[in-house]
Amino acid sequence: MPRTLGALLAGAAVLAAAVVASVPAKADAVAKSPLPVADPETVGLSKERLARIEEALQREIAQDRLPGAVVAIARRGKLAYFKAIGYRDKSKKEPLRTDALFSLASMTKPMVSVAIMMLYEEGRLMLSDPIGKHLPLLADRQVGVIKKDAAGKETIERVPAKRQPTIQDLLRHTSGITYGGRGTTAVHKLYPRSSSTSGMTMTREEFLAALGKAPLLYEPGTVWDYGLSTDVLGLIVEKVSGKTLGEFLKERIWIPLAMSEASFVLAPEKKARYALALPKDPINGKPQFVLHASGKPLKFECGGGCALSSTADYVRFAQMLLNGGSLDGKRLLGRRTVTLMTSDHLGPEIVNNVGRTSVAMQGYGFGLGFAVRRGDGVAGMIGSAGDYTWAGAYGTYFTIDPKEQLVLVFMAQAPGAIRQYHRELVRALVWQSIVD
Amino acid sequence: MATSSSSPSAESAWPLPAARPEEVGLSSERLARMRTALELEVAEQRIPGAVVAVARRGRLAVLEAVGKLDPAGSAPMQADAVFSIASMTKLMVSTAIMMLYEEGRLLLTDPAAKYLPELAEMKVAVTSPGGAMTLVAAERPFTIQDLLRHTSGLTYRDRGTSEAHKLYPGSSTTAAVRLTKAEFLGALAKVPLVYQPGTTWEYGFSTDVLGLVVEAVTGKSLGEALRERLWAPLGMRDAGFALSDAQQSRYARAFPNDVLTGQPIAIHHATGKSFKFESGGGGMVATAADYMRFLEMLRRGGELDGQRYLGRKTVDYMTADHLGSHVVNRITTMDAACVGYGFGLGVAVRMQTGVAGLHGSKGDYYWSGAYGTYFWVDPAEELCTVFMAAAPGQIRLRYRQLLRALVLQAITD
Repeated sequence: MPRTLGALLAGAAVLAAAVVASVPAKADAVAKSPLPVADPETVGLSKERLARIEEALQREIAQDRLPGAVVAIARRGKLAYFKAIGYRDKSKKEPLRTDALFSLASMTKPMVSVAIMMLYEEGRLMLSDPIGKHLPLLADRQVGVIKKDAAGKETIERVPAKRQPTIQDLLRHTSGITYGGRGTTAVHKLYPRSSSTSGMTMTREEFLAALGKAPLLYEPGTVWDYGLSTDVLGLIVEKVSGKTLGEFLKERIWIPLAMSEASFVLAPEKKARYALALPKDPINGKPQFVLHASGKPLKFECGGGCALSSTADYVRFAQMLLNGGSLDGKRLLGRRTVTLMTSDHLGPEIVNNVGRTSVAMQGYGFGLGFAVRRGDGVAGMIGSAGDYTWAGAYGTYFTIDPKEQLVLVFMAQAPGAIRQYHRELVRALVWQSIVD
Repeated sequence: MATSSSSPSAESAWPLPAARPEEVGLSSERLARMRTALELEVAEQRIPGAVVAVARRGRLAVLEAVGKLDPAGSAPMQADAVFSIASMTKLMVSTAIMMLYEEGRLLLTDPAAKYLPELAEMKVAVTSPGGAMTLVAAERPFTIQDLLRHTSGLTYRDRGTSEAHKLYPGSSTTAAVRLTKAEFLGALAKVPLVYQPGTTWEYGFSTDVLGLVVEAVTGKSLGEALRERLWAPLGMRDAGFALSDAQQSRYARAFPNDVLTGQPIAIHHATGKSFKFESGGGGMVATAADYMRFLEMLRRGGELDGQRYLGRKTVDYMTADHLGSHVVNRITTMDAACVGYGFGLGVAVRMQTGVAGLHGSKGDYYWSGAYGTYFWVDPAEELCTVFMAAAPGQIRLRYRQLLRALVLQAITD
């Protein structure tokens, strides 16, 4: 299809003309290529099979289940597929472009985890450090044991944690820290609902104070549970580096990797490129909220879910990881550090709830910042042993498959339960296109 | 010796380019043991006859017929004989499902009820030690993946004697003879699952349900969908759900009675009865050559003769173990020798070279048919074997072990 970057850079004038003709926008409609471009067939992907991606996503768009999406696939370091499908703003029928910006939600977390590992590599923190070493307000954590009286009323008995949660616990989500929105117990009620609501409604001091009052839901190191752990890691980056999280990420990751759009703030001049969700959740009909679309400023830069970026930005970040820590001669992490991060850190002693919310994720463990696939089978979606992945609640998704030397970045603003469907759909469509 | 007893016309219908066994790392001398062993089985009246096909590295080294086509007649078995393949239908239906998955037309995590709303409210039987059955709600609906790996909780009637089993409509073929598709779905909607979905491997009607999902998603009958997507492009000329008049003279028949129990034997396509729906769990006929084409496509990672049916990763995914540590693996209830096998999406998968009580390699995958047919693919050895016989009953388990020993001992490179 002429709209792919590959066709454009192939240099055929007739095709280039078709590119311009097929994109009802200006010549800058196509984002700068994040990686060298390859014809899909030269990197073992079938063009005919790749065409199924657009067919399937167009069906979703036609049914108002998805406003649009940018899909990027890199194989062996080359960009083989980079396409914008559907609308940036469905209400105005304005097409989506490959240079669109998306709220990343929890896809912020891997960047913060990389930042922590960079500090680890400099000897400035240890994975075994109790979090109270860096954030004294979070020293002496207690575990909240929920008791029910005869009337069913819950009370919390606070007992000292058997050991304090560590930086490793925060990276692999075994700290015992949860999200208020993940449950209804008396302990959950003491937690901020989510990362984005924390970032919007609290200063970092207020956030730390709130966490300081909330007991842990589990003994540290015993249960995988999703929560505000990566927001705490963001505050540790700030404390250790003496910079704001945004400054640190910009200086150490975004600038070296030329992630020119990555930010915690949607600048006014970029609003015209920011992708918008459908106004209503296609499943339950409720109004949809996406952080940067709300226009509310952040009170602190939440490491759990407050960043935004373009697709190209995230492709470069992911390719750096797939390369073992470097891209275009810029080394961010040592190769063994990436190996450590992408190994499963949930040993047999840890309750693995990664697959509890999604059958598709059964068979995944968790590393330092990503879910890591334990085998080719078991999981309810196609993939390879050792692939690692995470997603954002606003509909974004990425997976890195070291065995197949493949990076997938799927960007969409489609929050709500339907996002899980889109992740599995795009997974199937991308991995089925591998033919070598 | 590789191809004795195949008529020249059958040779022209060979499913794959032929090779002398030595050209593909097999010993002709050792392969001769297979014919000797099978002829002994025929002479001692344990099987009426059989067809064996062995391919290595994409080339056919063996296509042999032994014994008689029909024990009541005098015609010899022929290489292009047509067999009822029973549960060897299942892998074709599983492949069709994965083709739809590749097109984004279904997800493996989809509840089956998304396509077959009749199956939305399944209950699970809990049987007390005294045998009394109570019903509890399913903790989650069974998914397409559950149906592919047999963890739906569905069973067959003859897989047990509990109250729950008695509520099942027989086996795949008996149900399809007796019930229309609507009646079958109605019957399944009422049966209790014998396990909570996703917890336990149990053989049953799962693949029949997948066949109905193929029909619901494609809008075609299962036979039409399989013909269009697999049988026609792969050149599986004799594959079908009905035995045609033209095929009657090549159809392989069983002894009238089970050689071990003396019980009368009924093979569906020999009864002259027709199906009321096309059973994805066991309704097909095919030749050894047909099935070999299908297997070689899978062994090559989803492609044959330049046409692609599945992506390589999809075949990898199907042939990986999907039971993991959290699913109770009851596969040895089918065959005690297959201890050490897990189950993928449509096939049993060998977890390691040892442990299993029959010869093989880590990663090999197989399934079989209740009427006596058997296949396995050994990706490490680039080997596909199809064994076709009309030999139902427990005796069939013997041929699975015998064939593996005789084929794998012939590898000399």
